[in-house]
Amino acid sequence: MSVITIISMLIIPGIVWGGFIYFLILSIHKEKRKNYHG
Amino acid sequence: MKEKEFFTSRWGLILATLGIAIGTGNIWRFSRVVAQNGGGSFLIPWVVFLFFWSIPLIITEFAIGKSTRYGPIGAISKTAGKQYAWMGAFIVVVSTAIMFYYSVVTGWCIKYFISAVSGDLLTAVNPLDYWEQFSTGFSPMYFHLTAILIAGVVVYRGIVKGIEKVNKVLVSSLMLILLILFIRAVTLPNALEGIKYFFTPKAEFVFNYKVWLNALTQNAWDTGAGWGLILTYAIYMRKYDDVPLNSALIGFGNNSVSLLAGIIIFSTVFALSDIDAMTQISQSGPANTGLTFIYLPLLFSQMSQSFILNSLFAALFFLALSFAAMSSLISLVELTTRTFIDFGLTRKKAIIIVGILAFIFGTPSALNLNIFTNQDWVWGVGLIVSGGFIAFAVNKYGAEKFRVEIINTQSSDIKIGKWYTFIIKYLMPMQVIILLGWWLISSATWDPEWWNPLHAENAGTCLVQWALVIGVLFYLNKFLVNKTLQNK
Repeated sequence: MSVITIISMLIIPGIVWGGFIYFLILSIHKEKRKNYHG
Repeated sequence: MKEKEFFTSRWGLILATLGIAIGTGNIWRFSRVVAQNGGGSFLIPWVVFLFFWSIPLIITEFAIGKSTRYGPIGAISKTAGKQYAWMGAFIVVVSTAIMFYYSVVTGWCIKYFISAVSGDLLTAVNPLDYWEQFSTGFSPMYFHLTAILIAGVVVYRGIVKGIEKVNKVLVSSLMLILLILFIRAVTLPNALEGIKYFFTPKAEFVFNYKVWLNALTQNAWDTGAGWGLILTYAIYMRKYDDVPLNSALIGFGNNSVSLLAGIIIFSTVFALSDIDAMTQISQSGPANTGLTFIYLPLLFSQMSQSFILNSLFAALFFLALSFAAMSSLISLVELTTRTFIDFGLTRKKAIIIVGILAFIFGTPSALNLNIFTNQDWVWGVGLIVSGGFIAFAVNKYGAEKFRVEIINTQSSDIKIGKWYTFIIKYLMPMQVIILLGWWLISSATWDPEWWNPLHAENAGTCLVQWALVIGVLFYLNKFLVNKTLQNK
């Protein structure tokens, strides 16, 4: 497997799946705070 | 008549909106377009346009719907001015026309799921003959009716008991099924070859402008951004629900599912294909059904020595496809229903009218693939115009004013910077003009009689059908405004 394939396999899912997980965690955190403050 | 129903939780709203975004385009169209555009090379512009097209438009739709509490006609009238109500109506017509034939597609998925469960699908001698036998008979009409009935009942039950509840089940189950298929696909022998192709960029494709235009088109078609659907669901957001963070989550969530589906299909095709995998995966087939309805059933039948196991995986795949299609169909039905509710009808009366219209106008596409192809082309490209109209409305209101007053409210979990204003003001109109021009001019390359409105896929048929619709809506502008806004 070439270096460029490995880099692409890390970067593309990193951005797409990483972005999804990041915003999901942020949503959970923000929702908890909203519920806490009523 | 304004309804006082709201999504009961943030997660209900997110799953319902993900249901809009995740459709057959993520599973079916994405893999084909990746294969036609150099595999991994396509993924780079595809990720870029997530930021330049999908997310800004999703933010805009959420904000317009939540602030105006109207479907597209009232929302555009309130944002851009009453003289532009016809633009909102055009968005409704485009999404309604798509709903008519998308119900047919949902019917195909349901039929193939049933066939996979019964074992018929994998025992068929020739998958192409099986498809042709099905698609040329009357069966697609019955499955179209089934799909529209299911979606109609869900929408009739309202936001909380219908749309929110059903999407929670559909979208969660879809994710789970895709994860099961993902694990099976990547553990097939030779699956790594497919994954390698899927992720390896090639210079000659990365610098090809057509690959970038196809990536922009894929973002425009598969995220549901600019269709008016997210705007419609946003009507039912609670006052303190956030816009920017939910939008980002929907955009990334949609593309995450595409990536997952791409890995599943590329791994499966490269692992099981005894002929040229790329030729098969990129083949459009009749009405672009080649990969999904003809080639994949063949591959599922070769997945293992066990017929039951093969049927199980085929059934899971078509169940995922049916769930993805149904969650999107529900949102399309809700958009048209909401327009009638804005006109003053009750939800019950509105859904009966929408159901009857959908069955009547979807039937020609169910019985004739040429009509299906024509409608898919005309209104698929029309979606780019819809996206343009939404961006126009914000620019008319004032993009910076819209960002500060409508998006970045107290309820926003994250604040949107000035990059949004720049994208909506400059990049969005540019993207709309380039995409429209490219698609319409390209049609001349596959149809020398590009001007002939009686042909299925060319510039002429698009322009004539759009002009007819816009002409009528422009004439009815005052009526549409009065009918929608008087019921406040």
